[in-house]
Amino acid sequence: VVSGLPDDWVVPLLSLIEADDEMTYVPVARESEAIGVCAGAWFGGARPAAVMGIAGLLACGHELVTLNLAHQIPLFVVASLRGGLDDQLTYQVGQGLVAKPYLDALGIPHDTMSEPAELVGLGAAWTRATLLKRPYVVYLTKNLLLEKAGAQ
Amino acid sequence: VKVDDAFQWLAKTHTNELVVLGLGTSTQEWHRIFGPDDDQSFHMHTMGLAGSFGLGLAVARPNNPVWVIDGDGSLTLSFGSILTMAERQPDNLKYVLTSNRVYGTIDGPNIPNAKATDYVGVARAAGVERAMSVSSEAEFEAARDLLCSPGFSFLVLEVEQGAPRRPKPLANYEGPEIKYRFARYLEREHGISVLGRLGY
Repeated sequence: VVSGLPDDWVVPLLSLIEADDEMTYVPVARESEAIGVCAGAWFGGARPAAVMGIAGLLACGHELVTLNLAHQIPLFVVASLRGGLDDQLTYQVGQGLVAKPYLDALGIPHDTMSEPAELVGLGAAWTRATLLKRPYVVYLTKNLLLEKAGAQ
Repeated sequence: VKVDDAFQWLAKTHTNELVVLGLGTSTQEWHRIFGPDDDQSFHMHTMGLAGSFGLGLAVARPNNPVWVIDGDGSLTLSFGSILTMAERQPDNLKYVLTSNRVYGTIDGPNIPNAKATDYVGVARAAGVERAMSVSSEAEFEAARDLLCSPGFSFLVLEVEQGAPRRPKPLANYEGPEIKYRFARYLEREHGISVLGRLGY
């Protein structure tokens, strides 16, 4: 089960997920819903993931704290890492500044992947969420999320 | 209808469903009937997320009936979740909204647009055909059909404001134990692996 809501960088990834017969995609109206969908699916024996833009992840603080952290429910999150030097949009830059300190403050471990070879670690990141019994976030950079990123 | 009567009716109708309880009155009244040790239910401590949690559970366990019992104070925090549930409409999911139009757990300030919102109208407009509201006990029988037959259902129980003042049946356990109780219930009764081979 994958639940998510796209920003413009995550659109291609979610399109692939939606087209994959081995995954059940549950689109949501607000990212915090995906936190609930994934928790319910986890209790149902699935191996869920939440996929969203950084803006959505920043809006999930209450749910991450009162559901996942308070109950020790694992959650695997893939989010776009906006606001780096590859992203010159004013409002994304602001979100990029707080992306990692935000998770550090919540006590949520995270990785950043920026090269295709690193993606092999996604499975281990999912397992790490279950071992730690808490959310684990993998930030993906623009060149991984957008096929033609180099041209943009 | 009275809160007591609504929950007594739900309890009588309840059989093998997995139950997701919203924060506050939903959990309180369910626990008053079944006791806080009822492991067939998961009680949320996050407002606005019961429907989403129930949706994820229903999608992952399509052969198990799932009830969500939520309050309208919680639903208004995540009103878009009506659209999310309406899009998928799992046959095994029943969303039950106890609507008293106030934040009952904190002694009753009105929720936004308290007097006017037609929850069933919203659900129907979002594409949910099996939606109805119950404002008298005479309508319980029709509501039972909605709860006990296949198809996503959106049931609104219009309850009186202010649950009776009495001691809350507080659970003497919290977060992680709530998780383990519900997960072990699912593993034991439904033969699935939730916690993995180590069991924690």
